[in-house]
Amino acid sequence: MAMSARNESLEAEYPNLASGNYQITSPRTPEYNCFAWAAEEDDRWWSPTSEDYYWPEGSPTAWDTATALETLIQTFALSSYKPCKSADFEPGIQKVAIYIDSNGMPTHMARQLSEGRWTSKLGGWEDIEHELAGVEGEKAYGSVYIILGRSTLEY
Amino acid sequence: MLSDLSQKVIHPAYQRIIGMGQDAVPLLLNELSKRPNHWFWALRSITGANPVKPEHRGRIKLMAQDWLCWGRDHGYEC
Repeated sequence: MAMSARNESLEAEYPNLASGNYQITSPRTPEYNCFAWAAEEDDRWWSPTSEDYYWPEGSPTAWDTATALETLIQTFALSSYKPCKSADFEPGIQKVAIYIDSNGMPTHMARQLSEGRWTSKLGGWEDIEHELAGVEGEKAYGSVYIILGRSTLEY
Repeated sequence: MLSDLSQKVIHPAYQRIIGMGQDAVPLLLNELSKRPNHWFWALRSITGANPVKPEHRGRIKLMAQDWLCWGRDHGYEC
């Protein structure tokens, strides 16, 4: 659902957006975050770092520079996601992307939509549809480290 | 814009609020009653309480209700 087009404050935070194609697709809300949105949830905030928040039962919770990336990969592995070689759209495969900063800490996740566009929840801000590189950058979410995918036939 | 709460709560502004101690509790409860947001870590740090029901984890409107209920039980007007 497209809500509006360009937004200067978003482009200041995510400079790559300005040179690409993106759309804001939700109101601003603190009710869920990118990890939840990558998992197709929009009613709770996922976090392994506080017991007040939701994190899938049985998932690891270690969250420092040595462990956080593996924690995230293993958490999504519990929902049948496995590493993919390509971020290209493949019919029948649901893909998510994990972004990391220069220290290797996960900063963000995005989920692929049909036809290869990506959707992201920007922390406590809006959802956007964007290109994969649109939220990359040193000032933004760093860079895409890994693409995970699962068959949509099972879900 | 961060999704990782551990990064949000170490922000200097958030830490200054925690540094206010008990004086911040009524202000945070009032804020939760009007605009539920991620003040739960600060409230836990200051009060040592954890009134969020397990089934409400991550659902911030319900988490706010749990904290407001705790506040009323502890003499706060909220």
